[in-house]
Amino acid sequence: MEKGRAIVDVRGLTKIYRGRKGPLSALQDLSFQGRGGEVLGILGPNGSGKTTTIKSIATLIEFDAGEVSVMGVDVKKQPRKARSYLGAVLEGARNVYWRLTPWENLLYFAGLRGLMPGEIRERAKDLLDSLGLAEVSHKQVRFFSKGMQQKVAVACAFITKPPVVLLDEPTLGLDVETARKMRSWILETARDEGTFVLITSHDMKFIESVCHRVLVLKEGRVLREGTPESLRNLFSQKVYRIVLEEDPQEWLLTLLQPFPGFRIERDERGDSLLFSLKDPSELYKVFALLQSAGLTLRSLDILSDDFEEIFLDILKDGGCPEPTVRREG
Amino acid sequence: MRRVLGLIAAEAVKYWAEIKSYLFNTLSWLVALYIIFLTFFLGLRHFAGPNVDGAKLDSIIVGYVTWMFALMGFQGISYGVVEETHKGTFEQLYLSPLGLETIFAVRILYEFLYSLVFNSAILLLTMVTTGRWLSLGISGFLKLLLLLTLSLPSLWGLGYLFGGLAMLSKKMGAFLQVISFLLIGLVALPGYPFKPVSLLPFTAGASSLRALVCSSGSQTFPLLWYLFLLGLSSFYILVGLWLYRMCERIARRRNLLGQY
Repeated sequence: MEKGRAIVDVRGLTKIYRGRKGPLSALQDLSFQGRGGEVLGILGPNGSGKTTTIKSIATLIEFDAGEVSVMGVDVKKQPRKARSYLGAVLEGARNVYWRLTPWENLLYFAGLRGLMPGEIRERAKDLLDSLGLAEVSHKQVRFFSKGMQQKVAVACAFITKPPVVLLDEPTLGLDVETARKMRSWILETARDEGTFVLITSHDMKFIESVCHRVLVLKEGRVLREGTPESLRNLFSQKVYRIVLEEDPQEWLLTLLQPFPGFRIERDERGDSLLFSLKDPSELYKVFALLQSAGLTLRSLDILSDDFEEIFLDILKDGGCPEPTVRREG
Repeated sequence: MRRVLGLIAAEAVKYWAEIKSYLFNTLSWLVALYIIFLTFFLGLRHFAGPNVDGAKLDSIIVGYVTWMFALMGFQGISYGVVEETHKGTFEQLYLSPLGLETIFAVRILYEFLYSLVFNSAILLLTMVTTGRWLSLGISGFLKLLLLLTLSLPSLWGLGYLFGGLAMLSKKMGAFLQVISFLLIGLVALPGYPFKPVSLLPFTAGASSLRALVCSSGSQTFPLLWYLFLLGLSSFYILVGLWLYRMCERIARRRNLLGQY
């Protein structure tokens, strides 16, 4: 697979569901590209259009406007050809046959794409080994935990080395350790095989750690797009914890109130003052106030950002992170 | 073509794995079939006496087998959609570049072969056990096979249509059971020689099968009749596929594929 080449091209994707309660816009003019070797994450609250995006690329949904191509093939004009380039794990579905073993499932799903068992034996063995399924490869999937079943589904999605793999909520039901291994495995496979992997997930940590790029969707529109780092930098606000030798007086707390994200945490050590500041130089103003009150600083900690908080900020602010806009009022 | 071979191999893997997995069900079905055939052979002799008309016995057994094939032909696709949706694998099947209709066509062929082999084997076992033999003869049996092969696909067309409808409404499952019983009517109607009802799916074929069996295999059919059966099956398959694709398109537009 040619790495770095745009192999998925989504332009102006629009989908409107027409129900009894009137039309519901699921996707509005969505555009993005996916390149070989890249892992792209889609984040968004329920109903933001994540699954509709995946299903539109997978030809499972007929969209109303826009163009989607996979490996240069228009999914509307040549859906079958486009499907031959795809592997997928779909949300809310079993994806694999529970009465079959992982081995049989792999042979079966390869066959659905027209490959003979002899052509994929080595690949199947490699997948089972690398996903830790080798020992249970001849046991029926119905006896597996949810996490193991999900791994079988992921293996089936990758069995034919498709250039594009769509993973809708692949970490559902996975324990922390399995999710961590899955993350490394997806990254390595995408890199080594030049696969474009599109992932939707509610697991922010998973998305942050596995994706090269993230799209944040809300109500069918892209609010933000960028690397996890760029989103972090754009939206991050360091949380500073200040612990004083003695508890601050009420009047001082009133003066501190206007500072962004100001709150007090009380524990056995006394009061901690917390601030979520985008601009660290604002700390000078805080220190000036503390000094004027004659309070002695015991410690200052910088707490790490939480990607989940950043994501919630993006949703809340509609993709406009300017502090002046955000902090007014 | 090479891709279809891959699919055929894959379906064989799945079919065999499921037979093994549902071994108890498979064996139960075979025992039940054996008991049904025994009941036909011995029950008829018991109630009608030892001089019961052999053609009548043949007719009952072949009528029953024909109905079973009709059921299998219709349900293979229509229930297939409902079952796959229940299992949560329907959308994965849809992702096959070969198309859902090709997958179901391969499955229905396996079902046909499976039913043919096991029905014949159990029938043979029953005949050995009871010492009573169907008076069809080898040439009669071959004609029966030909008639079945030419006329049964018309029900596959019906299966595609109801499979398509099952994509749109998952409540179709209950309705399909009713339709399955209505198939008895299609099998029982007099469709040979040609009458307007012969145009119904499988009616002409089932009626020809009865005529063949009642004549102990000596009944002959003109070439035109075989061509008529072939044409009728082709017509129903094409119409069924066309309607199925229409339903599929609506299902895709409304995001109903795989939804249950």
